[in-house]
Amino acid sequence: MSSTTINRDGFRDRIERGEQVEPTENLPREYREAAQRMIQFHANSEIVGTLPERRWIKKAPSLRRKRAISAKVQDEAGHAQVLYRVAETLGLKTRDEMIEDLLEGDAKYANVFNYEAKTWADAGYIACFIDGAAMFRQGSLTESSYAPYARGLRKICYEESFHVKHGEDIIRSLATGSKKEQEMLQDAVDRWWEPTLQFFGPRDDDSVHQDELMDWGLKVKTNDELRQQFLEEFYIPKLEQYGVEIPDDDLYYDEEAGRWEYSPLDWDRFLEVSRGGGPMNDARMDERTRAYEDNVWVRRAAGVN
Amino acid sequence: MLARNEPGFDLAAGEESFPPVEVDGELTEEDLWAALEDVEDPELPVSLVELGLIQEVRLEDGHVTVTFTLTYTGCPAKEIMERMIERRVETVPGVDSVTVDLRYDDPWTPADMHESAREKLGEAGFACPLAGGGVCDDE
Amino acid sequence: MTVDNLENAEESFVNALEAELLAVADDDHVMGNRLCDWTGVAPTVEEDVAISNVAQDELGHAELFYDQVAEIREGSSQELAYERSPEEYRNARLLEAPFEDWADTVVRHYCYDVADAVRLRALADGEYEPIEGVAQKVLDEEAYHTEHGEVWIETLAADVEGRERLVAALEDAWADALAFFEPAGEVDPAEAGVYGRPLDAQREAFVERAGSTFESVGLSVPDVDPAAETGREGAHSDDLEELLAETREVYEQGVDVGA
Repeated sequence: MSSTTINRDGFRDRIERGEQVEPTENLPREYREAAQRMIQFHANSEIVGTLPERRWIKKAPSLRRKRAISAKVQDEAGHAQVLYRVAETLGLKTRDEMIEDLLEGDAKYANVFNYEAKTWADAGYIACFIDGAAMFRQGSLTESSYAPYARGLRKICYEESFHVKHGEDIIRSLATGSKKEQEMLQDAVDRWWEPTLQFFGPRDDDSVHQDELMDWGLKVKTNDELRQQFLEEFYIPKLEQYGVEIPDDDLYYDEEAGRWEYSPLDWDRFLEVSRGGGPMNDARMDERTRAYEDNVWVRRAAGVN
Repeated sequence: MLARNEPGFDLAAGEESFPPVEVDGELTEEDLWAALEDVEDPELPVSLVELGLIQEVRLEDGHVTVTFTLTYTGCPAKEIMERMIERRVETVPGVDSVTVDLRYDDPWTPADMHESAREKLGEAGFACPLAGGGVCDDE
Repeated sequence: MTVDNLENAEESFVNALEAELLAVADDDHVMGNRLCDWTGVAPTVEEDVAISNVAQDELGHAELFYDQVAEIREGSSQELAYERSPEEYRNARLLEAPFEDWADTVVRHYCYDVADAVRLRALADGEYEPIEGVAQKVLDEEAYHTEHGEVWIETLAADVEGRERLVAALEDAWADALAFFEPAGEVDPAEAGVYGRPLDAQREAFVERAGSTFESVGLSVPDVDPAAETGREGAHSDDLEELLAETREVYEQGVDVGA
């Protein structure tokens, strides 16, 4: 038995005991690669996630909302900064390489950002429910086996909780507002229902990397577990509280199984969007690429590539 | 709703009911300070008192004036803080009315934070300068 | 002489104070909204966070000064920000146009920061006592912005292309920057006691401070007169009209306006 394998086996035991590991330790290459893929995806999602919302900062309908949404979008950029740094600790890729991967289409980000934020209700919806969904996912990941990631997420979660409050305040305002405001909110929920549930990723049976990530303790809850938890503890109660009609006639709570059952989501569409066929994929990448290319000279002057 | 896995995931913050306050004898400003210890910053795991944002508490014939400030003028949590301070003070027996006064004439600096705030922020992974020279732990 | 309560103040003082505070608020409002154009698309991730932070500060200052104006005249900061026509705006024209590039952003925002700091100092030294704390708080925050701007000027000036772009931006901006120091109301605000320093002297202080920063990296400021149209009298570019229209799109639909 080679020393690497012994080391590896010992590593597995530690992970199974729920220990967290530091980048300075001797980590199996497969572990580093799996962590890299997951954290890079997360960092990309934060940076691309600024794009649907950024144009709503100027349009915020009050000074107070403007303060909140500008802080929120800034936080997302800050999260990207933290997460790229966490990913760099793995020692596999530099941030520049990760950003190039993104622009060349070699690295993915959360599919949900390939949909358009069309109205102010969408801006509120994203803050409340997409950030809400992200909190469930990130909350579970504060127990991830990769210690720097877990630590980074604890701080991020505090900020996300404020975004959700800001978003919910908009939802409340629209839900208790004029007929037009209520309709705008309903329209947002109708359009975002499916992408929101798909935010947690493919069904457990279809997920390519999930088993590996769970084995390494990088993920601690499965996509389906998180989806259910979100539906039960947040999404459905909030929609009901604000009198929003849920756009799925077949939705029901299965008392026996203790879970929400809903109409099948369109997973073919999900794949199509993740492969570039969503309504905003090109726009997002164009905007990111322009930001990158227009400022090549600035980064060169600043000596940061 | 969510357990320790989800720090800060208390969506009802700002709306929650504060624990009851017991006042021994006549209400004093110290009682009010103690009550205000329960008002947490909406974005950080520490109280406004520990952060040094509550600057003055004045009690006059059952009317309370709380003077507070913000770390920076663009703080998006301004309204939530105002409401929480007001609601906390209202729960104290013997208080008839509350005025919350946001002021900037004695601007906040990190030096205004209590030692306990520094420690808690450091533990929660909040980096400098708020944690007062703490470690940027994600590096 | 000091004024601590406007009820006993002379009408000419109150009018001048109101006009100047409105100009300060409008400047911050326009600059803050403009800077938001960089959020999400700044040159680096670090700069994204930094510039968005600066934008937030400016927006916070706008609100603070609109609140001050709202205490003098009828209305609210919300109405002041969302319900006045472009002609009623008193912001400097320097701040209106969309940014051409990062050099233009650095130059215009730096000029603004320095000019604003000079003005706020003069305001704090003026006769209206209650403004002093607010002005000081804003000055403290602006100090970080100014430092941020100086680092960028130095950085860009050390690069061939960066230097060219800085020069071009400075050529475009300087006459407008000089026109920053014009009265926003009917009377001279320094004579009325609003500022503790005359406008011309404020302009000189600005030229000295900003000019020395540019000179320290070997750039000379253009030898030009202040632009004839300043913005302080209400003459604005189409850029301002477009910017304000954008900020009001949702507000004018009556969506989520009660917050």
